[in-house]
This record gives sequence, structure tokens and C-alpha cells, in this order.
Amino acid sequence: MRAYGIAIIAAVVLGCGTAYAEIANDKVKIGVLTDLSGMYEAGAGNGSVEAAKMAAEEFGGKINGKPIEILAGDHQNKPDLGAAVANRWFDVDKVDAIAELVNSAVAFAVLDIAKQKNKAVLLAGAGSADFTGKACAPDNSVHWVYDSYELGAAIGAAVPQLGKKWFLLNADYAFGAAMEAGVRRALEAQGATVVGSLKHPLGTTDFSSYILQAKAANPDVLALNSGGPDTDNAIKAAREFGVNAKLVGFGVDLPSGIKGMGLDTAQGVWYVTPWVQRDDAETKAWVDKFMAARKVPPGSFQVGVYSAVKNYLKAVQATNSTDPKVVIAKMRETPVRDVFTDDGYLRPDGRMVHSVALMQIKTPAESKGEWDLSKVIAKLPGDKVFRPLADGGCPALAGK
Amino acid sequence: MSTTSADPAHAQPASTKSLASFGLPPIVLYAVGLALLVAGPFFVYPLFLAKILCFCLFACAFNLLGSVGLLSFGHAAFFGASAYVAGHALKVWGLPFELGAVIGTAAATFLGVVFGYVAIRRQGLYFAMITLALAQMIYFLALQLPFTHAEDGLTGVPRGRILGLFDLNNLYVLYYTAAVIFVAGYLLIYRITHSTFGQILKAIREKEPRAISLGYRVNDYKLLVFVLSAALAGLAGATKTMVVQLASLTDVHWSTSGDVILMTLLGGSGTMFGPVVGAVVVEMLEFYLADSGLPIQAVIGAIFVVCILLFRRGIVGELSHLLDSKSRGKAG
Repeated sequence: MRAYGIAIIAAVVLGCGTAYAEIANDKVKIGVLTDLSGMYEAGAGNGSVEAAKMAAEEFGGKINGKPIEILAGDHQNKPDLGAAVANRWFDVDKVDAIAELVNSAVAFAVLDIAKQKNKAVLLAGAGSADFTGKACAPDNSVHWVYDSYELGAAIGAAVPQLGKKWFLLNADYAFGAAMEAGVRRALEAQGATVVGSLKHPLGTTDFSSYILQAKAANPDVLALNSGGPDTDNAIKAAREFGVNAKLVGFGVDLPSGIKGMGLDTAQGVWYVTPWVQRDDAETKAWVDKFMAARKVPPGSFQVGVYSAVKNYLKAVQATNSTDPKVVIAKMRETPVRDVFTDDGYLRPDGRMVHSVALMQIKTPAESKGEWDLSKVIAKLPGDKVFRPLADGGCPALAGK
Repeated sequence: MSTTSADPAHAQPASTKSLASFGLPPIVLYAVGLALLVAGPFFVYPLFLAKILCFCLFACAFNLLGSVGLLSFGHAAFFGASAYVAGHALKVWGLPFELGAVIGTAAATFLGVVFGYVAIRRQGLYFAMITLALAQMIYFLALQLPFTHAEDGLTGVPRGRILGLFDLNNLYVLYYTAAVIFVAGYLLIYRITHSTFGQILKAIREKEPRAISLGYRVNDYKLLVFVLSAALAGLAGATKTMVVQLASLTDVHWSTSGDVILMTLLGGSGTMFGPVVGAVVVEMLEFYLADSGLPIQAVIGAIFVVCILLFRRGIVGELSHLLDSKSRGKAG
């Protein structure tokens, strides 16, 4: 054990793990642990598994002669089940890294296990900013796609375009509260005022009383700090009651979700997305390949899984190691340039910083094709929207 | 006994029941069970087995309530509340597991007294709905109270050492600790249902007015068994927190109350061993189907429907019924 520790220290000191570390068990195994049967399936789920497989295929299914294996697991949004599967994957199946982990509760549980067992976690769908804050694990995890801080900050950047008087409608749970805090912080910095704020329980179907109160406050902007079906229902209610304010929704960036709402209802809604499809041949080929397999365009979590897995595998290839500390150190050195982002880099706290986009959903007249649903309003540089490294309070970095 | 029907009018007449159908399988079966319990971790992943045992105890605790003919739809409240309290005690207060389990169980017992006091005044569906409503209150408390960390869950709970000696992070130590707790809980339930107290519970289930006319304070009996059931569910919850190192909203969610009913009905309600079999089956399905690519809930649902249609007594209930009728056939 001690010799092993010395080897790692030596490897890090030399800045190159090649000579000391190796690919454990002669296989590179990545488990995609996600929601395969519940409310997050559309945004993550089987599409994420497919995306991870696509990343592995690009290496020809092998790294330095060692086969890559992608496993898929359904955590059913139950943290204890997710933890049990993660434990088994690490102990019995010798999985090297677990990817995706939509649902923060499951992600926190799995991250704890990965820290204990010294394995890697590639977070895509989990959104709590604590993963690079007080719960950070720079040697074991990377947080690839988005977080609650970034969502708030990005929307704040749109204040000049949207207006000064904001009304916030927040889902009453930890993520809703984190987003509300993020939005308020950003609004304050921009000199906008919050004229009203309401909380609604998760899974609300009847938004009429909330929407009427919001309407009475006559704001410029109505921000919906929720996600999934809650946002959809709130948007529908706002349309029915003829709210004039501009609508800002979170968690509406999934193409199939927008299509489900219909452009008649969803048109004009503003949102922030961590990924926007670039107009180049590489991206188009990738999306076409994804659509051939899944029949729907990818969501940002799914592209994020592809990108995280691909960059992880690249680092494994370069270091010839599956030791998370060695691999993640290598990932930090390598800029992220792929379908997901063209300006990404991995920060010491595990945050992958990349530019995000402010989007608006098109009107039915503007839409030119089945999946032509929204337009880019502005691209926001990552350093402006993600929480600065110093403000995260990552305990593992405090001593460094 | 084929039913936990909360409505005494629907209960089967007492005369059709032999001792065997209330769950005294031959001693051989118990020996086999014990052997499996001891040898299990050498064949199956021990952490997972330990988690199964927690749910076995939970299902047995739930089934205890069936012995007086009550169907609770809120048992997740006791399981989850204890899981959270024990988790907090272990993680934040840094207490050893034994103390954490005691505190968690005490919290569940307290809730059991409160819930029981309110709920046992009604019967059947109304009883079930009251327990569900109270359990939903606990769910929303868990969502809002700061120490539960809402939907992020209480994670990274340290396991510590059992009796201050053996490191619970060793999966075999962990498993055998859970096994001892399970066996102790199981024996306690066995003792309760096979005591005079248990006989009175049965009498209340079969015909409550008659039990009252015989001079029994029916509500006291119901309350006591409700509290005992809650406490044991709490013990299961606290142990689960230590095993999987987390407590989350799933533990207090109504679907967990539903799961434990499913486990009990699948295995055979009213039998001693049925809930154990049911818990093993449901947990195994969830765990092994997790990376199979099959829609888990649909599979479990289909199995449940098949069970209800084909063997209404549950797996163990049906088996013991078969054995019963065989032995009767020989005798006749």
C-alpha cells in the first residue's frame, strides 16, 4: 500500500504516470448509472448509454490493446439502489469509472463510494454546485455539464435583454433553492429587482394561483426555477392566463421536451443551455449518428456524457492508467475540444468550464424543420458564468 | 391465513387455520434458512445481502401489524425517520452504530405512538388513509428540515465499529451484524405472534366485537402492536442507513410504504416467513434487473399481477397451504 502511494506521488511529481501506473484488470470499464425508467430517462437515460458507447467506438473499442467495456445501470432515482449498484460495480465488476448520474442524491451517494474506493466519477446530469464546492473530490470526480450556480449566473447575464423587474417561481426543494439563490445573486449584480417570489411543491400540476399572483405583480420577466414537467405546466398556465412578462425557464433545453410542449405554447421562452449544436461537419455527423440510433436529437446531458467519457478515455490512453488521480490530472492538462464544446477546460476543483448559450424558443413561423426549435441569442463565456474557483470553498483545495 | 384484510368481516373463519398456516414451517426449513443466512455472503455480494436483510426485517415488522388485521400504508415514515435520525447521529454527532440504531429506533417508536394513537380509532381503508396522510407529513418534513439535506440526501454516513471492536467497513462484519439484527428482530416477532398476546391479536382480527365482549381493551392491544411494528421498522431503517451509508427521501416516500406491502403480499401475508421471501424476491429483482436493460417497475408489476391472479396466498402462503392439504389428505 505504501509503495503504491509512493509510486503515485512519484508519478505526479514527474508529471507523467506512464511508467508507474497501469490499466487495472486489463480492461477499461465504464458504468453509465442513470435513470433508465423514470422522469429523467428522456434527458439522460438510454441516450446517455448510447453516447458513452459512441465515445468508446471512436477508440475502436480498445485502448492500448485493452478492451473498453460500457455497462448500463438503472438507479430508478433511488440513492440506496444507486449506491448498491455502484458498490457492486466497483467491488465485483471492477468498474473504473461511473458516468452520468442524473439526480444529485444518487450522485452524492456514488461520489462518496468512489472516494472511499478510489474510483472516478464523471458527472453529467447531476446539477448541484456542491460537487465542486463543499462536497468536491478533485481526485475522483469531474463535473462536466452544468450546475445550479451557472444556470443562475447565465440567466442574469441576459438582464439587459429581458428587463429589470423579475418575478421568481421556485420549486420548493434544494435544487430550486440553489437556483433561486443563483438567479438573485446575478440579478443583484445587474441592478435588477425581484418584485416577488413564490415557492411551489415539486410536481405541481395546477399553477393557476401562482401564475395569477405573478401576473398581479406585473413583472418584466417571470423566471421558473424548476425543471421538467413543472416548468412545462407553469409555462402552459402562464399562456392560459395571458401573462405578458417574458418567460425564462430552466430545464427546458431538451429538444423532445420543447417539441412535447409544442411551439405554439413554448414560443418565446428564454432558457440557458450548456450545449448548443454547432454548425460544423463533425457535430452534424455526430448528431446524425445519434439520431440514427435513438430517433430523437441528443440533449445536453447526453452529449455531455459522450464528451466526458471521450476525454476520460483519451487521458487513460495517454497515461496508460486507470488510477483516477493520474487520469484526472491528465484531463486537466488537456483542453476539451469536441462536439460538446470548443473552448472547455477542466479546473482543479473538477469543474469543466465551457461557454454556455442563452437561447430562445422559436415561433412556429420561424421553425424550418421538425427539430428546428430554438435560436441562439448569445454565447456566454464559461469564466463569466461558472462560479469562480476561489468562491467554491472546496475543502480538498484549501491546503494546496 | 390468506389475507391481511383490515376488515374483520372479510377475514376467514378461525377454524380453517392450522398452526402451520400461521407460519411454523418444519424445523428443517429453519435449519436450511439459517444455513443460507450464514453461507450467503460467500456466494452473493455481502453488502447487497445485508441490504436485503434490512428490507426483510422491515417487511416482517410490517407483517406484524397484519396479525391484528391492520393494513398500514405509512410504514415508510418509521423506516425513513429512523434512517435519517440514525444517519444524523452517526454522521454529525459521531456516535457509534449501536447508539445510533437505538436513537433511530426510539424516534420511530415515538412516531409509532403518535401515529398509532391517531390511526387505530379507525379501521380498514380509513386506517390505511390516515397512516398514509401522516406518513406524507413526515415526507414533507424530510423535504424541508435542514438536517436531512432534502433531495440531496444524507450521504457519506460513517459505519464505525461494532461493539467498538470490529470494523463495519469489512463487508463480512457488516453482513453478519445485519444478520444478527435481522434474526433478533425475527425471533422477537415470532415470540410476539406466538404468545398469549399474539393469540389475543388474532382474536381481535377475527372478530373485534367478540374480543371486546370478552373484556379485552382492543385499542390498547392495537396500539401496542402498532408501536412494536413501528419500532422494528425503525430498527430496519437505522440498520439500512449504516449498511448503504445514506438516508434519502426514497426512505420516507410513499412508494417505499407500497414496496413493503408488495413484499408482504408477494411472499404471503400472515405467514411468518412470507415477508422475508417477498423482500428477497423484490430486492433481487430491483438489483439484478438494474443493469439488464429491462423496465424494472413493469417487470415487478407484471410479477405482482401474476402472483395475485395465480397464488393469492403469496409464495410461502401457497406452499404451506399445499403442505397442509397434503398432510390432511394423508390423515383423512
